[in-house]
Amino acid sequence: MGQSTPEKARLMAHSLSQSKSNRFQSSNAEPLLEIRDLHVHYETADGAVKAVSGVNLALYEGERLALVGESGCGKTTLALAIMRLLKPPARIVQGEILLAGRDLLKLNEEEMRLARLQDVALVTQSAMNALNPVMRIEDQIIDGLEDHGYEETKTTFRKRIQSLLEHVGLKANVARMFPHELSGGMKQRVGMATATALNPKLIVADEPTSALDVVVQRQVMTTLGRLQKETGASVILVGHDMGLIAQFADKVGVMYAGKLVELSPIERIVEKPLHPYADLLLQSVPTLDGKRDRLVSIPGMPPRLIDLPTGCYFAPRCPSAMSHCTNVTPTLQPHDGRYVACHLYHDINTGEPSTTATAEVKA
Amino acid sequence: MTLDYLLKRIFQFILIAFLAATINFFFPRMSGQDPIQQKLMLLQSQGVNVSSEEVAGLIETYNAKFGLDQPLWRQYINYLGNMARFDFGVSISNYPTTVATMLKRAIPWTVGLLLTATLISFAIGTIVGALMAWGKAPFWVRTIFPAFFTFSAVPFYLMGIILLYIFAFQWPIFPLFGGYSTQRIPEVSWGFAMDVLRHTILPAFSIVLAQIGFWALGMRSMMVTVQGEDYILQAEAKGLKDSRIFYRYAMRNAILPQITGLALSLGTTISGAILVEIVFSYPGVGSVLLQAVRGFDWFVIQGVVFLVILSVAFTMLVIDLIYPLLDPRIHYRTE
Ligand SMILES: Nc1ncnc2c1ncn2[C@@H]1O[C@H](COP(=O)(O)OP(=O)(O)O)[C@@H](O)[C@H]1O
Ligand code: SF4
Ligand SMILES: [Mg+2]
Repeated sequence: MGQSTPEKARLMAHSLSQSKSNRFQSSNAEPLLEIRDLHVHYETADGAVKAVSGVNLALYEGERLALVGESGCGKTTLALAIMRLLKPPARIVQGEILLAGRDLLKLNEEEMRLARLQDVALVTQSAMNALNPVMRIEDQIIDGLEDHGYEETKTTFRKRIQSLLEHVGLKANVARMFPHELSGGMKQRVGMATATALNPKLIVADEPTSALDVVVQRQVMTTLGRLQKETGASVILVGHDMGLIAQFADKVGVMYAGKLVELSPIERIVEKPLHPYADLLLQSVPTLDGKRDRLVSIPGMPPRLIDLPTGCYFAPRCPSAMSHCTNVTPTLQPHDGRYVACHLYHDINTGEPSTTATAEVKA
Repeated sequence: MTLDYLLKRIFQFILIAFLAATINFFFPRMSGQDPIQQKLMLLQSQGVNVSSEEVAGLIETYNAKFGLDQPLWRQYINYLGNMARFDFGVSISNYPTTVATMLKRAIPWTVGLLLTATLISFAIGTIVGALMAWGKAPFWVRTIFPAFFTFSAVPFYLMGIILLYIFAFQWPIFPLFGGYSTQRIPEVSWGFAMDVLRHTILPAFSIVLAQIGFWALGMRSMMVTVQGEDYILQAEAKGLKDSRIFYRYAMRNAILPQITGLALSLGTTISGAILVEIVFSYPGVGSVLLQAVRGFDWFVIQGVVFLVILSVAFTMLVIDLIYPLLDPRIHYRTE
């Protein structure tokens, strides 16, 4: 716990900018989003559930980052921490979340409220229930505009909403409808239209395609991709379907038990994952009909986040585990233009890339 | 909502009224007792000198009204016709006052008291219940009000007796009984209105105190459920102001079952206040019913029962017709 000092985290986040993965970034640009040593706990009666333990992350303007990992590894918690929408018993124990240089965790409630939708927007997991059942679609979008100081006539608002809806592939008459009149895919499109209403710099989409059927999933992802291109926003996409993610993302962050264990450009991780967990996870890429069976392909269970083991959290399930893996916690370190937290790639004592690492990775 | 549905729903209402009248008709006949005879026996056993003139008039009206010499089906048709015209016959105890007249006199008192008290307790209870479940509500709202609700554990007639003892007997701030002072004659005037208000405060207060907790607890649990909904998270993610989320997203949805509850409780207004009216000797339908039961006044009892069934059925009709306006997910089609 707390193995990275803030200084180290800053250096590391900075060095992430050297990643060649990103199509849009210039090498000297400041990251749009920088998460430094973030720890989030759920304080339960049985003890603290360490849902996020020391995540460091940098995201540049226009970048698309996908977060993957088994269910329960802290993806949603991380997404909601960025929005600062975590509710008790969740508590952000330490860390910084810098959006365009401003630490979101230091904003007061009102500043944070204004930042939502305007600077960072959320597309939620459940398209089915994310809309107020008793309000028309247009009114739900107008609410967001009004509470960010937009005072326009109903006609002006309507024009604006019409163009927002058109951008996500919805007809203008959807504006006057109630949520129960829309299909799941349409609701998720409304979610995306709302998220882009004020052109935020960052869009966080938490499994936006869950509970949708396969064809609609692809359509929604295509739309999200197009919106990203048009608005130039950065996107964090939480997902589990590697097929969809490969189609969408620039970078992939693999999470395991509240930690980021690998961060790599999409082409490279698909070609050859570094972390043994990422390797197993990618072997479970679903077939085109959407069927997958991840639990079979990764034997064992993730650790209980309430009493985490010492050393590498993945050690009990890791096919490449070494004797020191259960004693020494690996940290996320640069490796060949990517980042990985695994002793296979780094010297335990110095944290420098280990010379033998490449030899130990199975072909 | 379609016209079909509207017609169907109104037909249902008429059917309920018809059934109520039918039960009212056959029930006393099945008991095989003669209310007039019973009444006379009661009076005689009490040693009252029943003037023969009065008894003759009573029996005559009774026979003419119900045509007891006619066949049963004819009596029945006759009876239904009377019910449709709200003609419930003549009170036995207060001959020759008709039941309709007695009810017409009593209803404004009951409705005035109960409607006001119910609406006040609904409004306060719902808002307070919503605030109690709202994490961002002021601390004092979430701590002081729950303590206040222990009053709701006290039945309202008992609350009435306690209030009477304290505020009318120990400290005679409010009158002990009645709907207005006995020396006053009902009229439309400022003085009379103030007198009525003074008489209403204690009974109304005992109802409000007892009911607030009911509304507040219902609302609180609905608010807790609603706050776990994704649309609340999404509303927060949209950067909405707390007040907007509270009213338009959380309360607006949580209140829907409350409104059904309100309709039901308004429907039972007529019968709901009986105990309160008795405790405060309030001149409403409850007191009329009490007198009627005491005096074997069959026709009055029948009138009150019919009225109660009708008012419940009517509020159900109204709530069914306005509910689609409150919840767009509900819309009626004829299958
Ligand atoms: N309200 C809560 N109380 C206690 N533990 C929680 C709560 N919410 C989530 N958790 C735990 O936090 C961990 C991370 O959850 P989550 O962020 O939802 O994971 P993911 O989105 O990756 O599936 C899980 O182990 C989950 O059990
Ligand atoms: S550190 Fe050791 S146990 Fe953990 S993933 Fe790497 S090899 Fe496996
Ligand atoms: Mg999740």
